[in-house]
Amino acid sequence: MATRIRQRLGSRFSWVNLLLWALRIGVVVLIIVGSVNTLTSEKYTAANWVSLFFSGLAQGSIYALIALGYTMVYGILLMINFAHGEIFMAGALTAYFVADATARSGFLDSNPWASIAIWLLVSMSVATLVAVLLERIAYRPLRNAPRLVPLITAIGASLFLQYTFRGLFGSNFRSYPEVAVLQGSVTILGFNIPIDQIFVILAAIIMMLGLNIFVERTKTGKSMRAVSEDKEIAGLMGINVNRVIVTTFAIGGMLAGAAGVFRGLYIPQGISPFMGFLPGLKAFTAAVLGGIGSIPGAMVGGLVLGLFESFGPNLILEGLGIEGANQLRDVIAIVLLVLVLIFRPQGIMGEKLSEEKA
Amino acid sequence: MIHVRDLSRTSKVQLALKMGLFGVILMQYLIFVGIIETFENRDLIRDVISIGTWMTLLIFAGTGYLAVWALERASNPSHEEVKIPIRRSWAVGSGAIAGVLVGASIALLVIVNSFIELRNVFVSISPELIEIVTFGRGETLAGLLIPIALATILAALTGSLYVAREDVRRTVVLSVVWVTLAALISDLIRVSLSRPGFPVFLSRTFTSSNGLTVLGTVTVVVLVIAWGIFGPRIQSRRAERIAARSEKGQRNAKYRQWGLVILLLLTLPAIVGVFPSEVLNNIGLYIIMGFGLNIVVGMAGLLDLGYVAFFAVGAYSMAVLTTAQPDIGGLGLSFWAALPFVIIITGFAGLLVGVPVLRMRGDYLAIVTLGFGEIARFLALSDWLSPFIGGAQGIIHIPNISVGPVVLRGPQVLYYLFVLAGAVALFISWRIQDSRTGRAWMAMREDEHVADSMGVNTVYYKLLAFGMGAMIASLSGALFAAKLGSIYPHSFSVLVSITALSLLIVGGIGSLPGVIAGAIVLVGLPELLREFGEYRLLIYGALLVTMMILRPEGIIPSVERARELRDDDRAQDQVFSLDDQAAAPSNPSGD
Amino acid sequence: MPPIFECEALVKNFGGLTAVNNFNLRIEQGEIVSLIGPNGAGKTTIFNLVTGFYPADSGSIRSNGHELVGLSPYQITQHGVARTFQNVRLFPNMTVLENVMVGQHSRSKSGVIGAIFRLPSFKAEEEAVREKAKKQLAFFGTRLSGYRLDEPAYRLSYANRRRLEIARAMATEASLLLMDEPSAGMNPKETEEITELIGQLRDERGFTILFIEHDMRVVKGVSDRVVAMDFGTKIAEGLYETVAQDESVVEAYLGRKSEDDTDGR
Repeated sequence: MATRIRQRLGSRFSWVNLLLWALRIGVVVLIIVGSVNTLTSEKYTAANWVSLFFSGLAQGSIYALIALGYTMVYGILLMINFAHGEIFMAGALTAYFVADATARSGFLDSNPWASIAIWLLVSMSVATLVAVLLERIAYRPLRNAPRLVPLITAIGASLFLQYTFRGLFGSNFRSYPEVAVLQGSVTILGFNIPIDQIFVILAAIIMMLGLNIFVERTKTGKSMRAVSEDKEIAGLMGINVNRVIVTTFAIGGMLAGAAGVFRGLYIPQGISPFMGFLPGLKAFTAAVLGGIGSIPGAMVGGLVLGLFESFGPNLILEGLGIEGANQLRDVIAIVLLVLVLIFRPQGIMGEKLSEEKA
Repeated sequence: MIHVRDLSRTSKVQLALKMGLFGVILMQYLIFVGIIETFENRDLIRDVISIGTWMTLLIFAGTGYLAVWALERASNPSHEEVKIPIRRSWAVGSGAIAGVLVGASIALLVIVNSFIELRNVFVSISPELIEIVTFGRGETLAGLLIPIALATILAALTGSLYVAREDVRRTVVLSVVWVTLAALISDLIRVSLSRPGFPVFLSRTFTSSNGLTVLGTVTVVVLVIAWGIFGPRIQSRRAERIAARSEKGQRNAKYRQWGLVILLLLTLPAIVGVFPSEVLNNIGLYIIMGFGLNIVVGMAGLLDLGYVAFFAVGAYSMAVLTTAQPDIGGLGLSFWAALPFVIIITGFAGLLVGVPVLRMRGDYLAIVTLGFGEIARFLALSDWLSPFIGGAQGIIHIPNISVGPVVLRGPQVLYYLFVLAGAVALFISWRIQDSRTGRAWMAMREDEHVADSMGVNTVYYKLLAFGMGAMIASLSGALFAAKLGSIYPHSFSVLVSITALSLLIVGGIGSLPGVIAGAIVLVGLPELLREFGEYRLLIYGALLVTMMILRPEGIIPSVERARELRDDDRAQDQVFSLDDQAAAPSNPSGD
Repeated sequence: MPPIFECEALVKNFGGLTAVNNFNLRIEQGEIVSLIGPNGAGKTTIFNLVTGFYPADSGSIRSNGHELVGLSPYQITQHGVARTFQNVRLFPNMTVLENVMVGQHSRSKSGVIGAIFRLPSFKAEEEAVREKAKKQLAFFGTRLSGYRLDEPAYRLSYANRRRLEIARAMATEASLLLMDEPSAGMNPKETEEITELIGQLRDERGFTILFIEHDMRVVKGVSDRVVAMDFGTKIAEGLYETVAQDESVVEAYLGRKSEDDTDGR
């Protein structure tokens, strides 16, 4: 009888598929029930939701910038640069000292925008340097090794970077100085939106647009796309594959470095050598969510993740009666990652990279 | 690298400078990261020289050695049998040039630090550090010149050593290595020699509370020299004896060897004492987990980065079932009564993890399992589940393990439980490897698609791997809970997973003795070298990266995996690339 | 007696593209049938459908009367269908013998318990599997025996790798062997050998064989029957001579003769 059912369904039927469908339905039901509960309980006002929306976008922009580094490296080398979170950290932490100096010397107060520019410069330079060194020392020798090997190397590099920075700067938590210009909020359509969030969102969008133009219009960008399609053939066409790879890492580093400063502007606290792990994991989630290997995907994925994290606890988890929902905010990203990888590994923009090139 | 045999003077100098630069980077790295400063507290040879200073000197010397090595490599690019010997003058010169750079970098550091208080940013550049690297002279002219001089001289000396007679070179290098090692584990030696049964004077003569004694150092050097002289003869006579043995004799010899090993294994806790036994137990924890993870990663090829989840489930279920704590479910079962349930529950957890990831490959599988591991930790920490499993407060009042009326307490006693569990895990792994199941896993690992075509039910075998791996992890978790008497969520971090995976890789994936080797290196050594404790993970990271680049097949590689990871071996007639194997079933447009 | 293999109204679509269109085929026990057609005709897709890697959209595939549609690949192997691949896919790091022993997986059953406790049933089965594997390898003479048994598969020459793959498929004790371009990459002498081999597989070991081929020497040399495909449909079927001269077959391979065709092009 089971065989007859299978035949009728045509495609392969199995217990596994059944379980996975049950999981899908379960998740959707939970989301709907939770959301409906919260919304009908009218615990939160429209202003609350708008505030959550913008904070989600701001956080999401930061994730997006980091995610771009993951996705570009994966697109070209088919490897997950596990240590990318540490590149973000390197930029953020190093720029902190510069920021601190500008604050103490008063330069920050007199020239806030110039200060921020300097921070960005430092952060992006350091992050790029670390990224390029990483590629040269740890990844290049392993270009042709089976998948497991570069992954382990990346993990090792991640640990090494974390503890190197800890040795260099100590494990204390630092805080970026407050930037007066970015304090306060503007009122749009009756809602109060913090200026720092708007700044981060806009800055990130500008950078992403810049990247898009670079990848689509410039010769280097075209080489990058070629190499990500087929490394060998691109090489045969006269493209300097090594240089392209280094460029990719460098750009990823720059974006991550920028993300570091934006993070410091948006959430000043918690700057430490270990601040990269969780954002790194979440940014990777974002990259996968958007479709790993796809640059627009990383941008979209980042924003979506930010929003999900922002709305999730209050909208869904509380509606389901889970206490201390805010604690579980970090878990949301991970759960989302797991779900995406199970049900739609190609992500939103769907570049079926997982199957073909795997 | 230059491929011309006769390098010009300029290029030789350039090479030496380049090597000097590496030395500078290493020296400055160790300084800025704080390793030099931290190790200042420990002496290599008590009251004679500290480990921090010793490291500095080693780097000076090493740079010189490196410079000449590079020179030799550049002059003999094709690795021919007959090497062009480096003239002594050039050896000394290269070394000196490289050494000068290193010394100068230190001087520069001291000068800069005198103007800018580097400590505001770089926490390790303390006055103590300056003292160390100036060899006690501080910010004086002597303090600047001495490092430069010392570095130049030492590097020149080792450069010259490189081209010296082979046996002299070997003796010096080995002496340095062994003295360093002995000093690093001097505490262990001291504790062991202090055990009842050893003459009292032994521990105090060779070791002290802070490093080796002068006499101890001399002894090590003498031993090295002695081995250098008598060693080869002893070894060749032994080889003759072994070859002369009959087959039966060889078998007997093997049994005797194993017998000795087992005897040592069983008496170890008594020999080494309490603290080292505790270390051994921690190694044991990871050996058990290593065997379990080896089934998942090594045999079935499923890259699991979230193994800690199973360890946690094992520990927590044991805790919940046996604890006397009133507010947690505690059934108050005994360890042995709870154990079967713990194993089954964890096995089930293995299936839970396995089902969603059935369709995934490689990297994705790794990330998802990592995610699962983190989810497990978050849940353990959460307030939401704390009524059941304790939340951030953990679970306490977990009773000791007893066998009948006898309560098993203390590291030296629990040791035997770890050995037992480890032996069970080893036995299971060993037996499964060479069986239909093992073959099915290996086929699946090599090419899942084809394995399916050959009749291997990959769904079943993947779940089996996860299930068995989980069950073995639960042994480790159960022992962990009972040993500590209380468990807290922070013990179950991603670091456990990373350590378990790392020890597999460093030891040699798929190789059972490799698991043991890996655990000893990655878990045992850091415990012994206590100061390393802070830098343990830094060394892990560096070790992982280095191993992957230099020796991906591990310390004790398994035969098949070594083949996979080294692509030297080629087919009789053509290059056979593993990439060919990765092709999926033909795409629709093909036929 | 049901035919050893039967395909009825088989259909497979990929998105908008119809890869297999109403395909029918019947193979009797002991036949050697070849499947030909230009690239993109759908031949390998048929193989993937039969072995369960693509789920069929509709239609039926039966082996010895058993319905195969809806089964998992490993179950299909259990039902007596085995396959070799266009680009030889061995288990490169397993030894020659181990590769073939994996083929025996569906004909053996010991599990974890047997392995751990080395039960007598386990040991007996291991021995049997090993012997059967050696027997399959012996079919290829000295090329794949002796010291070669313990060599890792990646060390074999190309032709030997093909043979090993066939041995592995033989070890599944299938009734029907699907071979995907068995002579790909071979020189004329090796091609001759493989043509003979296919015949021997049927004559000496009783396999029924369906193979995809582009090399007409092999097709002509050993097929009882030829089936030609293009654009997912069967366009001709019969003896080699008949099919080779069929107009639609020629057109499929060489293109249509245009009206104002002048000779030479």
